[in-house]
Amino acid sequence: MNNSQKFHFKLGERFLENYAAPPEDPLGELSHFEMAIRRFCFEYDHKVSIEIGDEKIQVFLDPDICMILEDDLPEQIKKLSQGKPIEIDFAESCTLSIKLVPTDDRISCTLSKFGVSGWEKVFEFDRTHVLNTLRGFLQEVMQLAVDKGYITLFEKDEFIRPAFASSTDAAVLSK
Amino acid sequence: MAEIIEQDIINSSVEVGSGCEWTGKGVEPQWNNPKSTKAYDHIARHHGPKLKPHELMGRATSSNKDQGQWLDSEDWIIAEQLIPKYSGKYIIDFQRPIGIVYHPDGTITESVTCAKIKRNPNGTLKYGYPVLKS
Repeated sequence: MNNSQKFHFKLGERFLENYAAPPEDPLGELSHFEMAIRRFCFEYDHKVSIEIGDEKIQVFLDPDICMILEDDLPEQIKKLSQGKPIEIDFAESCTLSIKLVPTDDRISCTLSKFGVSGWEKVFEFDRTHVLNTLRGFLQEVMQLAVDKGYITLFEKDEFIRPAFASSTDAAVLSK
Repeated sequence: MAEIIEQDIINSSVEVGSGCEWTGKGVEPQWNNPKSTKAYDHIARHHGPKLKPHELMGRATSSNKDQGQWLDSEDWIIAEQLIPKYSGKYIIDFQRPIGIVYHPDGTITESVTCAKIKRNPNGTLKYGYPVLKS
């Protein structure tokens, strides 16, 4: 177990290469909001750097962050704030699972790679620091989607609300 | 005969996917249609057979990670049917060529037989792409 304060999700520079097909919904299965997030991540792609302990990885809004937003990141953050374990899974620009297990005021963070036997690293972080990092990143990305006209402020606030709603989280109670 | 060669089942208490009761949001996806955004979105967009080689090579270089491309979109429908009806991660060996893998150094491996798949808690596929046998 490594004790560390390096748990960062940082929105980086624009990424101007489009290496995927544009988002489409030929069967009309997605909501306006779901398509808007896909279009934003594709048309306004950015690099995202993630630093956990001594591990540094780079992912992109499209598809990596788009996929964790589709996994309902705000609800995941809410679960974590309520003391429940969550898993953030990246499989496109890297192959990495981030398992976060809260215990009192600490969070155990296990990095592992599916399909690669034996690769696992475990870190421990301050719980409030992890929650604030994830909330801050979520807020920043979704605000950019608002600023660029893909979603409304109301849609953003509705989407991110669960991440800030937990009454059991000391970080929220102190505000 | 295809074979599951690696699996990490997340929830074995609820069966999900095609042929099971739909528990996700809205209407059930069209499992048998490879264009179903709800069931297979990122598979088609980022690993579909219509992508051009330079797009896969570009992603492999920029991410410094292998990028797999399916030869036939019907195969991700078959993959959905073959993997267990539980949310989790799987590597399936079709034991026939199903894709190409583009490597960060610019080389290519053809006639790839394996694919890595993740099934969401609602049964849809989160990702799925050809990979080299580890």
